[in-house]
Amino acid sequence: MPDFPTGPGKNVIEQVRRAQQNHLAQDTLDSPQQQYLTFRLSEEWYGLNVYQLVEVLPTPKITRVPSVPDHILGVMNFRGEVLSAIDLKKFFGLPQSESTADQAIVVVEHGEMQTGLLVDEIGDLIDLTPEDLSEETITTGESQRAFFEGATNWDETLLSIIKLEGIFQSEGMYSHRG
Amino acid sequence: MVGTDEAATLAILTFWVGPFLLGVEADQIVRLPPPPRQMSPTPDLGLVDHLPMLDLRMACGLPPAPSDAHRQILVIDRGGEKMGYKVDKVGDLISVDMARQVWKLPPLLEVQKQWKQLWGVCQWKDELVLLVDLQYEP
Repeated sequence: MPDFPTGPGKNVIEQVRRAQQNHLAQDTLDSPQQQYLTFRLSEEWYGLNVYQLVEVLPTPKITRVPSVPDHILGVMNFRGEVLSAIDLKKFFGLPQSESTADQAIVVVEHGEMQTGLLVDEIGDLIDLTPEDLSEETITTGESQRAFFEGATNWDETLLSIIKLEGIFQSEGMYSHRG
Repeated sequence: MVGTDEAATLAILTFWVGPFLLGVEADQIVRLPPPPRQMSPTPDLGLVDHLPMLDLRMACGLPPAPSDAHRQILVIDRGGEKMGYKVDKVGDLISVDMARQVWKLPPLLEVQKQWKQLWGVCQWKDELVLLVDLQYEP
């Protein structure tokens, strides 16, 4: 992934806001093109539709909560509200790595609920059309297929597009495990 | 508007269990525990050792403490029955604004929590304190 901005969230939120505004404008024109924020988890790159983004911020203080699944990091104060923070690497079963200054929290909104997602590095905003995405390029196992809209090869890197609905409706999230 | 101020604040006793900073509404506490150094001699413990006792390290998924010598006990009135909760260290008695400093658990945690007495979060200085209802019987 070339030429990513350095530092978590640097200039990204303004880009995201512009992208969201453009997205709304594009809706009225029925444009199939969508914008995605890319981010890294471990060695893998992912994309998230900017329409689901609320904010990108440097990792805030996260308070651990006892007796919850490992992928739930804890709670954080975001603009005077308390949100859950999730470690997507643990949720996806990806290798763990040490905390770095590049890590960031991506606050997303799904079904009127906001949640913080810890990512290892913020990438760039890119444009994709539905034709760019292919289910066949998803390399995760069958059990995780519901977590992705699809995948695409972008700048010689596989980019998996996150499907928040699939993640949040799964066991261990807003559905009980077991 | 007499009473509004009182109704808008919540008195919380904070305490530590392992790395977790927790809080319980102060009016649930029957008797504040004495300082830790007074807990070791049996006379103080003798006052509570007949009570049903729960170690909150278990609720927090932590291994037992190597020793109870410096730990403290919160005595809670649960429907007329007293109950003792062992904690690692009692913190401060704080007062928080219910409208601005107290929140219910986020929905994800409400779904996933295994410790059913956990109900909310309050902001105290730069810390988030996890609130528990020790009168609630799971």
